[in-house]
Parts: sequence; structure tokens; C-alpha cells
Amino acid sequence: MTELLQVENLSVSFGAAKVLDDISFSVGAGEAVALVGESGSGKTLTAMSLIRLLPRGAEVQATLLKLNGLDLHHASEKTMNSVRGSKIGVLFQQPKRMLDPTSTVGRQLAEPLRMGRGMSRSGARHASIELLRDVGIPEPERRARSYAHELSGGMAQRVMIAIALAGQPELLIADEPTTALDVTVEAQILKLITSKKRELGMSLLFISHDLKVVADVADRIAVMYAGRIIELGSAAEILTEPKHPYTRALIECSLLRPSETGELYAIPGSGHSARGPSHGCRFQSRCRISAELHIEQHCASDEPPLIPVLGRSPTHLCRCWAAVPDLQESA
Amino acid sequence: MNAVAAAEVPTLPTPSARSSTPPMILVEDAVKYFPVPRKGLSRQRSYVHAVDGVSLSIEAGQSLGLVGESGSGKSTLARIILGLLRMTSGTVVVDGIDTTKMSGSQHKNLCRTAQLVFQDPHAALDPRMTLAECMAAVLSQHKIGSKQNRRQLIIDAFNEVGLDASFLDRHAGACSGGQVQRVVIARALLLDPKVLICDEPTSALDASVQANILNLLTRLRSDHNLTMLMISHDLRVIRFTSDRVAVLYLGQLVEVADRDELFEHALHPYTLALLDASATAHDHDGPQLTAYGEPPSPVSPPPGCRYNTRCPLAVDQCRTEAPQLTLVAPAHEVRCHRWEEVARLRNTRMSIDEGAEHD
Repeated sequence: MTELLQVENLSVSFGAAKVLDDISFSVGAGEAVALVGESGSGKTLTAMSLIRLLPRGAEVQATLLKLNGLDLHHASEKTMNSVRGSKIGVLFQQPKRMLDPTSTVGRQLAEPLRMGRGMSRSGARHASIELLRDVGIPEPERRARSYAHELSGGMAQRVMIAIALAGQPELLIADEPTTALDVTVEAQILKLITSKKRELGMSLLFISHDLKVVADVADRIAVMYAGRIIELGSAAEILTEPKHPYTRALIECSLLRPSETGELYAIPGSGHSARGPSHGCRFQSRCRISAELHIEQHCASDEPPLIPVLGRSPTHLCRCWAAVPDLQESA
Repeated sequence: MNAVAAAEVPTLPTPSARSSTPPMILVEDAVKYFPVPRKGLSRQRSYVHAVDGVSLSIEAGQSLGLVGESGSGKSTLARIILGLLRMTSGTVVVDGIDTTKMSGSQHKNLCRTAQLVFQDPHAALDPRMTLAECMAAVLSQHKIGSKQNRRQLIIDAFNEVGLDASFLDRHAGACSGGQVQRVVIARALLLDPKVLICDEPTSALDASVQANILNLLTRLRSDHNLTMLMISHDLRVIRFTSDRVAVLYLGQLVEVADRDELFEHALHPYTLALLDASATAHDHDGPQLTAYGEPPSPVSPPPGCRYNTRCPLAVDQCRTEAPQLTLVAPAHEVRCHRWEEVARLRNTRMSIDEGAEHD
């Protein structure tokens, strides 16, 4: 598969705080890659540093940040402006907040068509109605004249999808696009995103904290914890045979199945303590495998590398000492 | 779980006793309409039918799960029960207090009986006050304790929800979502309530934190023998926390049943659509009836059955005639003209599955 997006050694820091540390992954043409993790793990920051929409004071470092041959890291602000919308489209978590409340849906849809694709005013109007129809909005002519507050959450997210598709992007970034929606509507929006992806041959970078949603959408999954990718592999590998203790714990507690004692499994400790000055594995203080294998000392002093898991496909990577066979034998 | 069961056994009412002990919460035919601002010069006033004829009862010590999508009236119902909203019509009795005609002092008593845990914990606490001040405000409002022993009461409450005294002088903004939700729960328990209403207590939290908070609520429920109303759109949360489940759609109850009955034998197409869309999809064996489209506006609910616009089983009768809540099995009520059809689909599906197993 040809790589559409390549990210190598991406780090983002705010002053002394390094919030993203050495992120490397790629998205193939037509592929859907999901970034999964809890809040504060750096999922959104990873995606937003691709389109350079970062909070003030963010310092980005990367050895490679490339979209289909275009260097995103060194591109001028002017180039980035044309990348946003026309090469990379974005869906946000709160669709109603992302739409301009003072302008009609039709006008907001026409903007990328006129700016990005140089359409005439009337051409853009017709095209925007077609786009609205295309994403399953009933009565698109009437809807084009309505404002954001007149739309339901699901309808607003459909409009956002139409706006994102208007620029015919090569890559669609979907940042928790269904978190604010009802469950029955969520399924419809996910179906729409995957069918559009297939139809247009787009690549998808999907961000979610919800493993169930990711299972429906992603070809490959990168699990993030405290600013690091800790496991990367195909969706089937990650969801059915996770290797990293954090991935396993996350899957277990998102099932919400009580144990025999009637308690739900919860990961001990809190993720907020994970960004201390320690040089070791960031999950060590909460990890039960590390304690079971008596390798806490090693885990706390050295950070494991992100390397292929032995006995699995070479594309299944994991950042855990327990997955490194030599260490298990010596312990 | 054993502790919960043991605590409940003596209070569990037998069918004959059920009528003699009054329920902790009794809602009868509750209706709440919100007026919509007039548009232009139009004379006609329209209303949001937020809650439209809901009747339910919760026995002391029981936990009722209320499921529904946004706009179905879950939170409005919670606010009606707490006496925070005046109903258009209907009666609500909480622990013997009729909330429609209560006096000021009775309202204060109701506050001590029934407390609310909010969805967004950061919005529920004043960001300019320290957590100790937020907690103390409740105690001084109800004139509990002196200035000195209030601090001790607050520390005890914090310890109970798993926070230490170092949190007392922090501000809400300096804590994580899970920690702030613990504070909100501790505050709700300060007045030693009998009823705890949880309005989506974990939907703003991460998966691992959610499990912690749900464990905490379960433990507190058995420790304090609380009657709970658990509001959520997430069926997994409801399944873990509730004894009985009520499904709300556009202001009306569409199905009420005991937890296991509902998860194993749901008969309303909307409940099945919810089961289908939730993570428990793979372990529910009912017919797959995915909902069409989106919920219609509660300003002008569709005629007939309110779900007919989204229901894959809708027939002409559903579009004209509103179904009533019908008892279809012991303690299992469904509001659907076609529940027998759903039951038939369920049975044929099961026989197909059984046939496959024999092959």
C-alpha cells in the first residue's frame, strides 16, 4: 500500500512539558487508522499538529511530516491554508459549535467550493445542495437556508461531513465525530463516514476513546498513553489479541462487565500521575503485568522501545518489556 | 454484589406487601410542557412536550434505570421529582411529600431526602470556591454542625468517596473529571439522603474512571441503603447499576421491566434498536430492528405511536392510533401495537439459531 501520510518522530512540547513524544505512524491511501486513548493522551494534539492548528506556545519537532509528497512540517503558512480543507478535511466532536451561528448552512458549504475549487456563486449553490443530499439530509434546498441552531446534532454532523467533503480531501481527520450524538444516530454517522471513505478513496484518521466505535471503522489502530504510542497494529490484532497491558486493561474496563465479586474492573491509579520525571515505562505504576513478572525495577528505570511483537505479524508493534522475550527469561 | 443482596433481602417486598408499603418515589401521570417563544405575529403558541404522561414508582432501596436519547425527557423527569420544576399536571410523591403542594419547609426536607449527581461535575461546582467551601455551603444552608466540626464532616465525606484531606483547599479546576465527580457525590451524600438521582454521572468520564465511579456508587448504595434513579443513555451503565429499567422515548415510557427481563426479552422496537446500537449488541439475541432517521421534534410529536417514524415494523394502525402501556408479562409493560410480532420474530430467530446448532 502506498503511504499517503507519513509521520516520523513527531514531538510537541509546551515549554518544558513534552506532551507528545516521538510519535511515528503512517496512513496508507484509502486506509482508516484510529488513534485511541483516554483524555489527555495526545490523540487530538497529534492530529492537529498535522494541519498546524495548535494552541499558542506549542513547539513542534519532527523528522518527517509528509502528505503525499508535500512536506507539512516546513510548508509556509500560505500552503498550509490551502492544505486545510482541500487536502485534509476535519470533523470535530461538537459539530454545532464548529458551525458559524451567524451564517446559513448553504453559505458555509459554498465557501470551500468557491475558495478551494474556484466555483461561481451559482455553481457553488447547486453543488452545495447536491452535497447535502449526498450526506443524507432530507429537503436539502430548505436545509441550505437554515442556521446551525436549527439543526439537530446528527444533522449538524452530516453538514460538517458535507463541508469536509466539499474540498475533496485526500485525508479526513475525524476527531471523536460521534461522541456528542445519540447511540442510534451514532451508528448512522459512522456508516456514512465509512461509505464516503470507500466511495471517494479517502484516507481516514479517526480519533476516539471508544473502542467499540473504532472496531466498526478502523483498519489499523494506534493506542496512545501519556503522549506515546504504546501499541500499533491491525484492528483485529489490537482488539482481539492485545499485547500491551494498558490496551488489555482499557478493553476490559470498557466492557463494563462485573466480576464475580460484583465489581467492575478499573485500572488502578490515575493517568495524570503518568507524566512524572521518570525515565521508565509511563504505565509502570499502574501495570499489573510488571508486578506479576517482578520486572518493576527494569520497567521503572528504562523505557521499552516500540518494537514488533514476537510471534505476531511484523506490523504489530508494542512498547512493553513484558513483550520482549529476553527479559522474561532473565527475570 | 453479595453484600447488596444481603442488605436487600429483608426489605424486598413480596407481591402482597408491595401494595401495603408506599413506594419511595411515586410519579403519576406527570406532564411537563415548555412554551416555545412565539414566532412573529402568530397567535398560536406551541409547546415542547418534554414529559407527557409518565407514571412510575420506585420502591425503597430499589434502583431504577431510566434510558433514552437526548430530548426524551430524562433530565426533565429528574428535575420534576426533585421539585426543581413545576409540572403542568400530575402528582409526584417522594417519601410521603407531595411535591406539587409542598410548603417551604417541606421543600427543604425534600432536599435532604433526595439529592442529585450531575452529568458535568465541573459545571456543578463553583470554580472560584475551594472544594471545602463548596461542601460547607450545603451544611450552612441546612444549619448542620458548627464551624469547627463542619470541616471534620467534610473530611469524613471525602474519605468515603476515596479522596483525602489534601483536596479540601483545592479548586475544582485543579482536579480531574473523576476527582470532581467524587466531590459532587460526596456533596450529595452530606445531607444523608434516602434518594440519589444520578443524571448521566459518568458520560463525561474516561472508560477507566467510569468503572471507578460506578463501583463507588454501587458501594454507597448498599452502605446507605439508597433508593436510586440512574439516568443514562448507555445501556451498559444501566445494566450494571439498576434493578428495574424504564425506557423513555419523546416524553413517554415505551417499556418498563426488571433488568434481566428487559435485557433478555425486550419487546419494544425502540428498546431493541438501543440494544442493537449499544456495545451489548453482540450478546443480545433479539431481532435486529435498527431505527431509521433521527428522533422527531418534541414540539410536534408524530400522531399515533411516537416511534412510528423510525420503526421498521410500523403499520397504518401505528400512524393513527396511540398505543397504551400494556402488561405483557409479570412486571413487564410495553407501549406497542406490534409487540406480539416482535415476540414472534424473537421466537423464530431463536428456533433458527437452535436449528443451526443441531446441524
